[in-house]
Amino acid sequence: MTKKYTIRIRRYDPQTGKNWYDIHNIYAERRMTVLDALNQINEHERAGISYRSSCRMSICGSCGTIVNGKSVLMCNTFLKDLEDPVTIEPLRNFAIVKDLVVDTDAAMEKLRDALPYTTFSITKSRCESVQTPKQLEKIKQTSQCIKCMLCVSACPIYGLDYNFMGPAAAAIAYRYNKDSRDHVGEKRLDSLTGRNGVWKCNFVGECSNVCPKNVDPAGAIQKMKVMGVLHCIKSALKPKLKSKSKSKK
Amino acid sequence: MKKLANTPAPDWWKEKPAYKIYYFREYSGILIAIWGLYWLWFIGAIIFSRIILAYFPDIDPVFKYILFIPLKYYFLFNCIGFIGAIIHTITWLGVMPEILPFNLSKKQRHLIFSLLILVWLGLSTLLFILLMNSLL
Repeated sequence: MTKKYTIRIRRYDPQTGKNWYDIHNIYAERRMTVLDALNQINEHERAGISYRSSCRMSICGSCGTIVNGKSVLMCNTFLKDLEDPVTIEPLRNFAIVKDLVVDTDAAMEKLRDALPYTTFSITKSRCESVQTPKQLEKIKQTSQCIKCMLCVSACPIYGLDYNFMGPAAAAIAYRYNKDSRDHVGEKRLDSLTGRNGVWKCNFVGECSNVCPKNVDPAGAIQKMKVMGVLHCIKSALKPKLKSKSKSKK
Repeated sequence: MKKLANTPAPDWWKEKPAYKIYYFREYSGILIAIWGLYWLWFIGAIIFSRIILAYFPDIDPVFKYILFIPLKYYFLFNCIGFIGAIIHTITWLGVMPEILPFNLSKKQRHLIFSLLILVWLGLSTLLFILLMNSLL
């Protein structure tokens, strides 16, 4: 059974600088996703729309767009769940390269600031770093992040202040800070609780609403705030504790 | 090749209910701040009125009127504070399920929100009863 849908696509031509909406009518099946609809429009109507996509199963995180005002992955958004007409726009808070393709370099650079890796302390006696299922459970949710940048697109704070690290970087930083094998936690907290760190978040909560993997970046940021406060108290007391121990010696 | 900036529109906060709720929550802080300032004014008026009236009995009536505004509009200022507190608490409890360390469905989120509201109402009633008992 097919149903007629009107698809409005925001387009941008970087050579002429023109910015407009294309309107296409398609007949869609029940199982058709927004990505399938775009593929169909490109194949059958030769529209030449530019967009990113790869895995078609919400794993690669490359087909992020704004559909009917909500940041979503096109491959896991079904047309039957959307109101007609369906409006597809590029992700917000990123510069548009062409049509639905955006430049996410700035946000990706911020992920680098979050030191997204674990540093193992390997001793001679134990050459592997062991993690129990209980320890893994703590980071399992935030480990699901696919860096699709939907949360950054939905964050109004990031849109108003591009220096803010953004919810994606904060969620990833939380994941590595909570990792039992990690040893640079304090260094990471220094950068995260700095001027452009987690304190700029005003807890709108929309980043968690749009996350296709239920990573809950909003929650991660709030927990990072608590960790930041404890880190500040710890670092303020540390020199005193050190000097006390020295004087005892 | 030029890239097109895709920044939020000036009226971005009207786009989604979550953004509107956020705005309500932030602006309700102003109402609570007014209420807080009112109490400072109220306490100040009580403390300094005796001193001022004792030393300057022929004080300017306009100044006297301004000084005693908190005592006259007691109900109005408390209503402002109450409305601000209600909006702030409800919208804040609405986002509280976000920071729980497990995945929740929409139904579970609503359930936790309603439970939080119930706990808040229960605690408020308990405090009110205790306060009234100690006053009477």
